[in-house]
Amino acid sequence: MTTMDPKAFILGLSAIGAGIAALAGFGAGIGTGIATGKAVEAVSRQPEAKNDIVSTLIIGSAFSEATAIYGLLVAILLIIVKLV
Amino acid sequence: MGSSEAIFTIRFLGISIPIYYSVIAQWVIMAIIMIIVPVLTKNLKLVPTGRQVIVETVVDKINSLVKGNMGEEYKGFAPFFGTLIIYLLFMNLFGLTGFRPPTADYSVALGLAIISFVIIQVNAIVHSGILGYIKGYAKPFWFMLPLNIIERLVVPVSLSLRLFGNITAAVIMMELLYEGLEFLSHVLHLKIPVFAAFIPIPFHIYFDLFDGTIQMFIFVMLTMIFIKTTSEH
Repeated sequence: MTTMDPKAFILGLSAIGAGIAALAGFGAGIGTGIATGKAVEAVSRQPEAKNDIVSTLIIGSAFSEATAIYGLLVAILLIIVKLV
Repeated sequence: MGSSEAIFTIRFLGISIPIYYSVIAQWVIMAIIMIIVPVLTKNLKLVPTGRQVIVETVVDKINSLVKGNMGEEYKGFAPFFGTLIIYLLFMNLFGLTGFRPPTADYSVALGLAIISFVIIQVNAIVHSGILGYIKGYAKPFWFMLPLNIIERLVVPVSLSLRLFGNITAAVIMMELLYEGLEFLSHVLHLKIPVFAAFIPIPFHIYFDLFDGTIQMFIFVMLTMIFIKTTSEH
């Protein structure tokens, strides 16, 4: 087995880690999708309550999106902020 | 990320205060707002015409947003939220000028979130008295105490991380796009980078205009909701 530069090894592993961290987008995407679908149903059932529904939807999306942002943050920290 | 070094240092009473890029960008934004506001509010008339119509619409919208989301008794918060909306909007849209938006610096986002946090807690104390405020931590049961403390402390963290993460992601995406287009014109041996002239426009609309406005809205809405729910604990 050829010897490997430990720095390159760490860089490669942190790139893989960043990729895994970005998978947090899965959950956020599913959550936002469900919330938006339900909001569309609610608007079509009760068009006069549209303003309330939209503001609730935006808040809900912000909460479900937060998890994706944490994943993104981990990815950014791994790639841009060099720990070694 | 390029903006982590102090541009200059102010010495004041023996304390040196480093001034970073995001602080200077905020000064520029404050100066722009301070120039725009007197121009827009000069010689107001009873019957609005021209620019006064725009100003009155904005003020009316902010008032009705605060009243609609928090109720009539909270309308004293309207000036604070109006300031927050205008300031955050200018900061998030600062990326359109070609400079880095100040909210892509975590210190700025955390500072804004701490302002929100202090207002939430102070309003809860004013609303229910200091004893009622302390009792609010032990509701509905006393063993919920650590959970309630964590719930309140997490608010500024999640508010600031959401704002910072979204704006930083937009900045990184735009940087990557520009680098990619530059590389493309370099590969095709074009003297002028034609791709970078038109292709980024829709991306700017999405990442800067849309995302910046939505993030401003979410920050303001969440602050409103937390102020209301925490005081009525």
